[in-house]
Amino acid sequence: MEDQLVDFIRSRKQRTTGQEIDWQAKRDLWVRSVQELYALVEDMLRDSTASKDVTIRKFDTQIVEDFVGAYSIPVLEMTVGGERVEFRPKGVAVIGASGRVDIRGERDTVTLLRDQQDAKSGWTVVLQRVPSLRTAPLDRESLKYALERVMLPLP
Amino acid sequence: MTLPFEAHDDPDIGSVWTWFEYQISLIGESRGSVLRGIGSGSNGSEQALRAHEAQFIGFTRREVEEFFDAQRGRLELLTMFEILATTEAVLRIEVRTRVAARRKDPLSRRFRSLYKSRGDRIRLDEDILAAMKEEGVSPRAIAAFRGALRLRHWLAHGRHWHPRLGRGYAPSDVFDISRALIDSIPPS
Repeated sequence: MEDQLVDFIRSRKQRTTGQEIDWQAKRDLWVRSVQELYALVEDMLRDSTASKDVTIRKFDTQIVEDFVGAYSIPVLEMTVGGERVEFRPKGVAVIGASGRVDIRGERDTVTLLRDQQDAKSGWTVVLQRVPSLRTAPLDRESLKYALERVMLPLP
Repeated sequence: MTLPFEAHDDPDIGSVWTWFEYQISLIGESRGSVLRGIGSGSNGSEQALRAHEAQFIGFTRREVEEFFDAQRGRLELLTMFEILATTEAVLRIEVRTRVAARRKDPLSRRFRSLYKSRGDRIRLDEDILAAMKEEGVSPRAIAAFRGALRLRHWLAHGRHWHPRLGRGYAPSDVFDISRALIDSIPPS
């Protein structure tokens, strides 16, 4: 008699064989795309950095993700006055996007999504999730909106 | 869609349970559907998600799991409330039926007496359950249901305080407690 457990496991494996994913390659691409994102953000902030209104530093953090495992990826930290905002990568294995970076301030967090699976692709800012999803491409205007959302209001 | 806000003459905790199991299976299917979007590695797109799943865009596996755990938790609380409310309806209809039928068994007599003194203001715990207990319905079944009424009270008032329930409850516990009470009502 055939072992039904073995058959079951085999059929499950066969169903997924054609879909095996090179998570290591995805991870490497993801890390590069985050570096590209930071270059883009630094470029948008170039004038403010030159005038010393904002200071930027980068440091590495460890992320552990399902499928991908543990890896190191940079965090971008910007300081405006006494207030810090971090661009903190959340992961590549996320729903409906090719990666996510959270912009975390002292008031709130705004999500940035990587659009396509190449390092040069664009990024999208999640403006609102409920009652319906609203997004905008990352540009100077949406970056200003994101920073307004995450930073403490002026007294 | 306009809901029919009318009397429900045949309340049944079994139908509540069927509804609960169906909702649980829908949550499970939806959870699986969303999580497959991560495991496939396709990363899809905003358009590939079904409309009601757009809110998950950018979610990690853990965030998706937390979301669906919360959905299930809320469904379980609502189900326990629905079972207890339906059981109250079963008991009140039992009182009304026995009063109207003018039956001679002790419990029917007690209910008629209650109806004469309190009319439509008969209370669930102090009147109906007390009468059932005095007429020999299992004290254990009544005590268990009275305990669960504290849960119902907490749920009905928006859970804004820490309840002292004396035990934990799952929907199956509340169903069993309610079923035991309903089944212990003596025939008229």
